[in-house]
Amino acid sequence: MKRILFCSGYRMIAYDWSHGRFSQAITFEPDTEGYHDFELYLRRSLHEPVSLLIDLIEEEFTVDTAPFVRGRDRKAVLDRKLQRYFRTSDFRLVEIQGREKFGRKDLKILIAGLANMAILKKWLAIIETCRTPLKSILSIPLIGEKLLAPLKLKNRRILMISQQAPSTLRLSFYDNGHIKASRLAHRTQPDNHNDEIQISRDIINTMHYLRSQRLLKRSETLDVFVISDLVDEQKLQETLTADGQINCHFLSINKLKRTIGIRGELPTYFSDGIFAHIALQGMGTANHYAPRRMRHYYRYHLARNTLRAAAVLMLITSLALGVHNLLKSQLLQKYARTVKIEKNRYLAQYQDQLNQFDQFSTSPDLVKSAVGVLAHLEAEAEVTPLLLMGHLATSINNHPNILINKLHWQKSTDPKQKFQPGSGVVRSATKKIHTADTTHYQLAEITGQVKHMDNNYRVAVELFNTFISDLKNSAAFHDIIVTKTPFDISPETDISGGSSTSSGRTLNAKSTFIIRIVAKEDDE
Amino acid sequence: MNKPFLKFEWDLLRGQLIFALISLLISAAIVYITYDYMGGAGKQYIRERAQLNEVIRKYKAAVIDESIYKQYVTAFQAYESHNIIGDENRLLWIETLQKINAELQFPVFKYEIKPRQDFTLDSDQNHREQGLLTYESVMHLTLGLLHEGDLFEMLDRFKKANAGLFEVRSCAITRNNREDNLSLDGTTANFAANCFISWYTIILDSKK
Repeated sequence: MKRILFCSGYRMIAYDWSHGRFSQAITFEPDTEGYHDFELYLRRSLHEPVSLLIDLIEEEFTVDTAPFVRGRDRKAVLDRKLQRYFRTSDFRLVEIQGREKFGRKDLKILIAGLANMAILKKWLAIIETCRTPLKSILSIPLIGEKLLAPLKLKNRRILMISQQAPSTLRLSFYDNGHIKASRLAHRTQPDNHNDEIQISRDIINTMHYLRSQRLLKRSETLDVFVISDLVDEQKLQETLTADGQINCHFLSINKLKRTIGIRGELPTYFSDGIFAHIALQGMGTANHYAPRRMRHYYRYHLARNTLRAAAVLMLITSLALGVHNLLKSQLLQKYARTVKIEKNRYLAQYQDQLNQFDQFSTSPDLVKSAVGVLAHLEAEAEVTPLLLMGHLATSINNHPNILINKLHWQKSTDPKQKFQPGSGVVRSATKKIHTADTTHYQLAEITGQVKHMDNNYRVAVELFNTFISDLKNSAAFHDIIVTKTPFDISPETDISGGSSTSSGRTLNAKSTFIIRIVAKEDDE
Repeated sequence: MNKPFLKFEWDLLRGQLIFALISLLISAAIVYITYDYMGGAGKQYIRERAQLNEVIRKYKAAVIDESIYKQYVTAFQAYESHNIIGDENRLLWIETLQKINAELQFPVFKYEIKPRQDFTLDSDQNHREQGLLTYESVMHLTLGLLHEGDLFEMLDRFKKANAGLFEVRSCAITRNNREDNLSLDGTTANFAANCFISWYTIILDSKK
């Protein structure tokens, strides 16, 4: 439920409104009892905000222009305008209504305000005393702008006449949806049934005023819309037809209330209910006149609402989070149970697996390593002097004059390793490196002689060279190195010989040679 | 109407402030308790999940172990039965040598087995960490041969005796007579052979 107060200059009327329906209207007279009742009414719903709708003769409207500026400059210009027109009043507003089409394209502004606020003073004091949140003080003519759209009059220049109190008549001129001028005319004989003449006179006076203010062209016909069920349409029409420049239209309040969505009955016969409804619709109309200091209880109201909303939002959010967490917890517990079942299944399988190999005290990795190392050593142990000696024997068979006296064989990774029997051939001494990149060699040092040469050096040399050549041509050997030739016939050496039997024996004794054979294990 | 503008009237907000505060406390409590509850459930799930992963890992390792055992156990047991894994069986080596000598009747027959020494293969570091230690005992064999082929016959019989794993590392064969006149009486050696043979054993230290 929303509350709105209406003051037409004398008494105060309070309307309770909810979703387009007025539930009650209470009138408070401006006397001690009325003020007391008003205070009681406000205290009944202490923290409910109220809006105050006014329709006072003290309200003035002026149209002016201001240079087009922005930001602080605009604010300063508009403040100066306000100061100029309403120096002493706090109840004032300035509204930008567009820009002029020509010249400097100045801002078109409306300055409105209450020149005298004495009428409202007592009522506002009671509102302040009750600490009632005053949401806004609203002007009927300014709210009238909102009535134009549902009546499809927004783009026209019209004079709207409405009656909110028995003794007054509001005449407001709108141009393209903006209020340009408004005046409150007193009806001197409100109960006289022949007051259409007075109304028509007010309309004509207003038209003259508008023309004088150049708000209406001299030749322009004025469209007048009368919102009232109390005026005799025919009579007024007849009175105005004489003028010829006035088109009069009548808007029935009952029809209008349906158009703007009022449900139920209006609180009075006048159109104050229409404007009150528009003011309360939706989020409500923005404040027109209430100065900031008068609205501070409304800010408390907003703060209360914000706190309440924040608290409710917190509760809802925490509840939502709580429910989410609980659901997630349940899901996790369900997953944990599933995982546990799975774990127990694997555990049983694992135990079965372990039981199969209980008899092995050695770890599988150690078994694998041991087998790998021993297989490797076993493969190396397969290499013996037998094969190399076999190849050597094949070559010697073709050279019967070559006699082998000594053969020294060993394995090594160094093809140039010297032969030292019993040293450097065992693993513990050499720390032999076994890698795929290491080449393993069989080394053989052969000591032999060329037999039965009978001092024929040339033949002996040829036989030896042929033997060496055969060895070198053999694919079984990687390298053949002659360490010592059987006969040294180089120019640097001393050669002696003779024809006796003893000298021939001497030659044969000296025909010893030493050959170093290198074979790769892979070549074997 | 002319109250100081900045005077703050707490009483107008007291109810809502208390309501907001209580809401905040309730909300915090709800969130804390449910998060804590969810955290507990989450931890339980993570614990179960970790245990499952551990069991799966062990199970997979056991399956791999099984395949390794199946692949290598036969060879391993063979090495064990041939005294290659474990302590040396020097007595068996000597008996085997004596038996071969008795069969081949070498004119000269001497052997000398050096003390056992450990040695390292290049890829041994991991093996040592696993507890696999490699050992070598060097045997110096001195033979008098009627024919050079006797040496290979002896080595062949030695191998077939399965007395252990050995490798001929070095051999020197020398003709006793500088001329190629061979003695055929069966008691005089025509060749002298000096060989160095490595006996390999490994010891597994399962405690490592």
